[in-house]
Amino acid sequence: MADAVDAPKPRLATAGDRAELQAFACSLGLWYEDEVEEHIRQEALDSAAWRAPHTGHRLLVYETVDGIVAVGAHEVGDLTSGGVLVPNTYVGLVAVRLDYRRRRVAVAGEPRVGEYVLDSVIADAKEQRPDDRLIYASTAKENAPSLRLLHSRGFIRERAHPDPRFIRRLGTLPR
Amino acid sequence: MITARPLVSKREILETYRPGREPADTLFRSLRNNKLVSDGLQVTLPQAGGRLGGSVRIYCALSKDAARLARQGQSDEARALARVANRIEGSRPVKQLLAMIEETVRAEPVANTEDALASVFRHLIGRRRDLWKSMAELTTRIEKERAASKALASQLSFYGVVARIGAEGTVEIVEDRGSRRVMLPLAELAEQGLGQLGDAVAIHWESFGRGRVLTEAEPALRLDPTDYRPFLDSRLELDADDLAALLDEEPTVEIRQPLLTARP
Repeated sequence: MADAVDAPKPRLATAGDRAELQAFACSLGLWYEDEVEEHIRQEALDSAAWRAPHTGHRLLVYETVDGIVAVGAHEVGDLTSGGVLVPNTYVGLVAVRLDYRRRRVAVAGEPRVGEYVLDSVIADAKEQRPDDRLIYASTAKENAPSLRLLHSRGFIRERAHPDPRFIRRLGTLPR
Repeated sequence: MITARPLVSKREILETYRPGREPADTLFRSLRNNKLVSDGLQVTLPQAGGRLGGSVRIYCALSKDAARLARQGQSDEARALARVANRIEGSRPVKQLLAMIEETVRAEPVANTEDALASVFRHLIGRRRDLWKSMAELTTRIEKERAASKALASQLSFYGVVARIGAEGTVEIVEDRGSRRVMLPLAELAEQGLGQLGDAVAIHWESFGRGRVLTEAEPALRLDPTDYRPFLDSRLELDADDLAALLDEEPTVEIRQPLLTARP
């Protein structure tokens, strides 16, 4: 674990994080990374405040001594069957700051920071909504690292996304 | 920017022509024979597996306005508007848009019905960033034609987003570029697949005289580049069998860090 980083500490984002989030860098210039970065910089805080009362949205920031190094979010997704909402969790966001990308976390199993954040988001969602059985996320079909991350964490079913450039990945949670 | 959709289905034209009545093909043939609506454009709908699943026709949105004028007895004005609609249907942005619609339905086949096509507009077309340029060109041109038509002067339009859902079964819609607010019954919006927070809505008011006003709400388009984030779009409908199979399977996701996240 020579190069492993200390476990980033998660907490709910607050208005005081605005300046740091406005400078958050998680894109190397790929269009799907640009979209996420732009969202985090310009909209994520306000969007979270607006959505929270309606969807249980939780925007989490992950801090180390270097400041906010990752962001994650989940909420109750608009997953329906026969027009009826099915209890579920939608993972809307997992983003790692560029200088923390691919680095490992000094905890058991040495997950990469992205894996660690997704694990934490899943755990937080389960704590908020213990009865949820379905969990899903959307990612660009071109985003191979994101697809690998989701698959490694059990999001193994695929469903179409309204935007053909994207795909949904679903998993089932334990009771 | 929120704007009306540039293309509509036959059903939507008929619903404007005869509000509250079941759309009938005979009525539409009559409108077509009298050149009171445009010629329309054919969209090929493939089935799953790439086979052709049939086709439907879609029309420049001005055909809805032409149908409205026809109902009001303004046939000459309706024909003039239908001619403008024909020209727009032959324009480059519409051809680009059609190609993209067909590409979209190839990627996600839809049922061979007009309602399905309307659904394609609501759920797919308005969310493709690569469509926005064509859409913006088209909607701007259509709005200019509407504004230039004296016959449409008694019609008011309002574009906004669903900002609040009231416990009393109403929805509050806030104007996109202004501060006006409108309350509408949730049940009526739900009929159009609307009524969720953030939905873009177009509302048209048409004077019937002596204090009577017809209010028509329909899905609108958001063309602001920052409006839509596909990774935040969680709308997903599972059929009952699919859902049952998913719920029946062994958990695929493991809870690895149950105590890590700080409580609020």
